[in-house]
Amino acid sequence: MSRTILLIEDNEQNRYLVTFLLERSGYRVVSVEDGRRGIEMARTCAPSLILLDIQLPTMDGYEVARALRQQTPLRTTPIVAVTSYAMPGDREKALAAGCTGYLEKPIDPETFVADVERFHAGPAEGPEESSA
Amino acid sequence: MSTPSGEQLGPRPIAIALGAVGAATGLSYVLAPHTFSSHYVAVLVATTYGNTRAGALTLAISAVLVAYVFVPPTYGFVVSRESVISMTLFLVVSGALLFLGDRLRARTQTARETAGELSDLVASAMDAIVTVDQGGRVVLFNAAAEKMFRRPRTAVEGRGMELLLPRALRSEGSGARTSEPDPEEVWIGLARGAVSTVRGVREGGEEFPLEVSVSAGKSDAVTTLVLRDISKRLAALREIERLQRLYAALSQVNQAIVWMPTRPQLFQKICEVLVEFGRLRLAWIAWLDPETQQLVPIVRHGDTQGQIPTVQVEDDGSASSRSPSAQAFREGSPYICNDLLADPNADPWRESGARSTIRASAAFPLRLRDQVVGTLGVCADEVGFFREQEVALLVEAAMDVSFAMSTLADKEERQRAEEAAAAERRFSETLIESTPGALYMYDDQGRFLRWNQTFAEVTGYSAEEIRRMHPRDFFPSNEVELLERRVAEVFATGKSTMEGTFLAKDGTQRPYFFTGQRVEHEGRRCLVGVGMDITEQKRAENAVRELAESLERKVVERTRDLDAARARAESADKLKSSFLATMSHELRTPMNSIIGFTGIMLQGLAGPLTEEQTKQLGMVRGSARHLLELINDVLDISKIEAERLEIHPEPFDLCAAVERTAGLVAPLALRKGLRLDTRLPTAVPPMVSDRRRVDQILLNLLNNALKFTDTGAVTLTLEYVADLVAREESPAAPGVRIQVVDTGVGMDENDVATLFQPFKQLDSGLARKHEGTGLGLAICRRLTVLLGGDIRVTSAPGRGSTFTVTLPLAPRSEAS
Repeated sequence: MSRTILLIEDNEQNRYLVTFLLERSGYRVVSVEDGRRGIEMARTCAPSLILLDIQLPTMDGYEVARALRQQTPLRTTPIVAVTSYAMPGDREKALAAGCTGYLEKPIDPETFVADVERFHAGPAEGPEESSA
Repeated sequence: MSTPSGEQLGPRPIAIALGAVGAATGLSYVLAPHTFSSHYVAVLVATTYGNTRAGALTLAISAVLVAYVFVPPTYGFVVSRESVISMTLFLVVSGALLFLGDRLRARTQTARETAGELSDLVASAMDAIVTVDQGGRVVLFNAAAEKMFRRPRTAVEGRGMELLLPRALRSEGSGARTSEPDPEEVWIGLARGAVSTVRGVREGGEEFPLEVSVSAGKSDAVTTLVLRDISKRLAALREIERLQRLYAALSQVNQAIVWMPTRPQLFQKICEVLVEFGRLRLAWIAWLDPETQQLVPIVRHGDTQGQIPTVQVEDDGSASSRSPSAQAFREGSPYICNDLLADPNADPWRESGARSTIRASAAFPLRLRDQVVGTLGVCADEVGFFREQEVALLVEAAMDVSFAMSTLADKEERQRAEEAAAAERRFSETLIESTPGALYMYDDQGRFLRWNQTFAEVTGYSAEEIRRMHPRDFFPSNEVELLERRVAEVFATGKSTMEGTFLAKDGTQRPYFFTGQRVEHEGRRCLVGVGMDITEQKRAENAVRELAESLERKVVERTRDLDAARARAESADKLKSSFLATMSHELRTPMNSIIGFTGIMLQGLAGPLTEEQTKQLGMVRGSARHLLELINDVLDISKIEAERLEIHPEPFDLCAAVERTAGLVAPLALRKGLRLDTRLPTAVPPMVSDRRRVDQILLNLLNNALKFTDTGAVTLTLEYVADLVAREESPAAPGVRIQVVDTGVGMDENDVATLFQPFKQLDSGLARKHEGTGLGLAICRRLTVLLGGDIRVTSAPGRGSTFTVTLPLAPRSEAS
């Protein structure tokens, strides 16, 4: 399995941070800034895992997740929602939209890669732990 | 006047005539021949001792003899003058003698006949006739006297009269009779010519009453007494008197019945009357006591000795039930006992007292409307007192009393009925007058028959005016039609009501509510109505209506306001939610970069750092983490306050969670030189709760304890509680108790009271010394409540604090 991770994130600093951390761990990271491009990119780059920000302009993460899941090749690809929402129902909504897991911002650089890799290994239980 | 025998010319007169003629002829021949004077004597004798016809016959024969013998004829047909004269003289003198002799004979015969008849009369007289001589000795004693005195004439005649009439002969005042009775003294008490009543003595000494009339002879030689036995007449008189008495008693009874107004008085009077007038010893009335079935004497009069026995009515064989009263009561007919001593049924009487004088008793049933309810009892001293008439009269008295009782009862009933009717009338009057409204009645022609004072007062009309008025006169003209419709309805259906304006004489108009009811009154259809003044009610209704209207208006206004407020609130709520979401995102996004890149640099991933750089970056990261905590706390409390926090129960191992949390704060304890102990039970069942929130509670409590403790230890104790009552109102359920005990600064009561309120620490002096938002405990409290548990604290300044959290082992909804 390729070690390409598709990152859909509108915030440039976050894109940089995540890309930096994942590339340092040997992943190839393809990042896009919105959902529409993310969906296109997912078709072409065949990612082994997709990191999806929920708070996206024009098309929010839930819609993106639903659209991704409709593409046959991506049906089993882990999609991990990364969100700073932490509002009631966020997690359920994400899982209902087709996400495999859920990570809360802000990310902890010391544990982030490990967290991602847990989902990479296969469909796992929900997100383990982030900051309190 | 001749008796029939003197008129007939029977053999005896003829013999007398012939004898007389023969004697005269012989005498004339012997004594004086040629004289005929002896023939005069013959005529006289024949007439006297024979009769007129004998005398006439003597005269005729004597005339022939005189003519042929004593006046010698000339034997021719020449009669001498001398002869004719002699003959004529003879005839004249003889005729005179014949007449005289006849008169003499008639007188003698009458006297003789009279004497004979008198003697017969005396002998055969009904009355006793006794003749006594001057010495008082009986000289004549006729048959009736023999019968009366039951003594033979021979035994009486010649004996003193005192034998027969001892009392009459006794001189009043002179005492004993003297040896020789004084003739003047003998007839004391027996006035001559008068009738006296004395007592005679029969043979054997029996006395009897007799009436005596005394007549003296022409001489004082004898005195004739005519005696008549009057014992029968006296007995008859007594009987008459007795009956009169009884009738008087009955009449008195009837008078009593007429005059005595009440039953007890009547009874008493009747007993009195019977005793006083009826010559009874005792009279009483006994009444049936329905409970005991005994005849109880209620009134009595007369002999007051002893008790009148109360007797049993039912025949139970006892002496009391056989008493005259009980029998009369049972039989419904009189019971007469004319010889008390011989009647075994009178035992109760004999037992009840030594009533030695009473010899006869009788009882008569008393009825009240054909029902025997009591007895009239009477007693008399004589054996055989109650004879036919007495019984009949007493029966009649008893019947009269019965009748009177029925009448009295009727009267009482009538009286009661009248009283009840009067009371009813008074009640009705009171009711009519005290009705709190105008009450009236008019007939189907609208004529007022009756109304109460209120009606008159309200309308202001006099009775005279009301009587002339029509119901419509009490209403304004525009309501007359409605009135007539309603009145027609009353007469058609029986009742109706109407609200209208009651018009008084002075023009006052008041709102009234009328109810009308159809009634039959003395054969007429009438309407009884009640009118109630509803001025107050109207006023109240108006007030209520106005109030209701204004209320309605207010409600509408308030609803509008509330709708607006709710809309505002809803929009504010939405605003709040989106604000929180935005804040969450907007605050965390930069934190992501800060913490992320600081971490990267501190990890040396971006190149080697100097010691000073590492130290300063470490401070940046500490501040960033603290800032993130603050942000999280603020967001948490905001979410809780906005009720946006959701609970996601899942099973987990609480002991593991405690250890993990303790591990998280262990570096802080180490840094402050504090001991951190956890005491866990050997086995706690898996907990079903929101693990992240439980962690948050544990972390907050431990952080808080460590934060406010400078020396000593922080101890966390976990206990399993089988029947936890987390909050007062919740049922017992399995749960856990988590206690965090520190040896820190502690708090006073005021601090404890406000401890769990958000942002409290911000106000206190501690804020500067201890970092934190002060939201930790408020969040803990809200979370424990959300998880179905509770949190408490005990503390004292300088003594440390003990926080106790209790949590159910499973969410309440699942546990119950």
